[in-house]
Amino acid sequence: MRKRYSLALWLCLTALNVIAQQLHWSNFRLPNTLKDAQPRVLQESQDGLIWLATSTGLSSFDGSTFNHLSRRDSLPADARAVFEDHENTLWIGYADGSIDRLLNGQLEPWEPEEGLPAVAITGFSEDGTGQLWISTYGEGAYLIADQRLYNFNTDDGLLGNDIYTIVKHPSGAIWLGTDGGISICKFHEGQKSVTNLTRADGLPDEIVRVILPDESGNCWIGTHDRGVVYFDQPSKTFRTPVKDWPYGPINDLVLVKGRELIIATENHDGWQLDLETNTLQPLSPVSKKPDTKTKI
Amino acid sequence: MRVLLVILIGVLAALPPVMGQPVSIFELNDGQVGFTSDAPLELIEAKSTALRGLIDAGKRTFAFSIPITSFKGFNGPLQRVHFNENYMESGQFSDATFLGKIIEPVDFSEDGEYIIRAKGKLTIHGVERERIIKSTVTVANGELNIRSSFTVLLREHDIEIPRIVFQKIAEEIKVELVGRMERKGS
Repeated sequence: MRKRYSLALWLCLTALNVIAQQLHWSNFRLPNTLKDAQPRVLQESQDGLIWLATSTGLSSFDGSTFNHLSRRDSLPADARAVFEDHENTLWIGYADGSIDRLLNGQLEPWEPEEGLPAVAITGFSEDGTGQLWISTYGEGAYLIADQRLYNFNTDDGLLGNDIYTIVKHPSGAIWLGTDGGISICKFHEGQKSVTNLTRADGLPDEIVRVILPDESGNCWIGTHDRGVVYFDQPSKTFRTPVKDWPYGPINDLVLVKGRELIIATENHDGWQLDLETNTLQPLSPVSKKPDTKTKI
Repeated sequence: MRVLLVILIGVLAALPPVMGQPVSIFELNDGQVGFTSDAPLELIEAKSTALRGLIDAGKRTFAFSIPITSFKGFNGPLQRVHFNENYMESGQFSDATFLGKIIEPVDFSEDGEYIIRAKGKLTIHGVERERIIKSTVTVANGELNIRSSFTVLLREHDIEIPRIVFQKIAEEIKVELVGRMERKGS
């Protein structure tokens, strides 16, 4: 599993104001108790808390204080994914394939009858019917439907079993970013459906690391070698706004007010793509407020 | 039963191989399947020793089959008759089968205990459902010993229970399987 430096970390810990295409930042230092933690994923829950999945476990942030939650029985704590479902239950996935749910303030292991993945969890999502999907790095994706766990992998038509990203598309289907392209999955009344988007469909790079849909179903896609790609849903075509992308694999994308696409790369760089002028510039703070000391 | 096993072997042969694994088929000839229906007014238990199956360790594929009429126990002969004729309709749907592929890459040539998940099609009462069934496989001296516990929901396989007996038959049946498998041809 590649190390991911999530752009969301930068942005979710900042007060964002896009004024005249400039971003204003606030920095929040991690406390000493988290100094060795490698933040991987952020998730904002309905109650306004920011949840960090880090290499040392799960922490919450309320704007001033970080609170670390310990797993039961000293279980391995390398958290790789965090997600709040439509019932406001927080799901946490770990590098060893184990999964917790946050219930009544406690991390409780989730242990389905079918057993857990033996590989890292890479993400969670819900499809259009509210069914929970779980992506992995090595076993494809799992789905909880009608109290049963189902698996989608290459035997079912997936383009790869190493899933980098999992998102709900506005159509209700689940889109998976793999090493072979994008696999689009549905599950209805016990029937699986998998369709794929690959180079044959015009996808410039088959290694898809990020998928960011908008309300219309168009998608911004972060790839390994070809930078950002835009997928136009009505025409089913791809275009590459930045030719000859030289900045390495993309880790995350955030769309700000529909005008700016913020791009985080594996090289620890940040880029800002102005969607109106199609100009790319490095991310840099316009004004930097003093660092806010956080309470441990 | 022999015809079914030939068909199952054919299914195993048709599934694609997994690279790098030695080709080796294990056959189950000594196994037991038991089920329990724990309803408010009655506990029903039955067992069968007629389970048959194959695992292709190289391809990680498997096929298991059991004749429904082989289950014995129950709380009386009449209950067994109802089980076969009214609920399972075993005259029409004679066998329950489970065919598929093991999710984990596993090397059965090494002694040890393995937790595996078998992903496949479970067919009962003529209705096929995809299931993932977790099992513990202990490898020793070239033999596999399998233990598995899972549940079957009657509604998943269109098994209808008349309202008059709904408190005597559970909607969720617990199944326990144990089996010993030897390398085929040994």
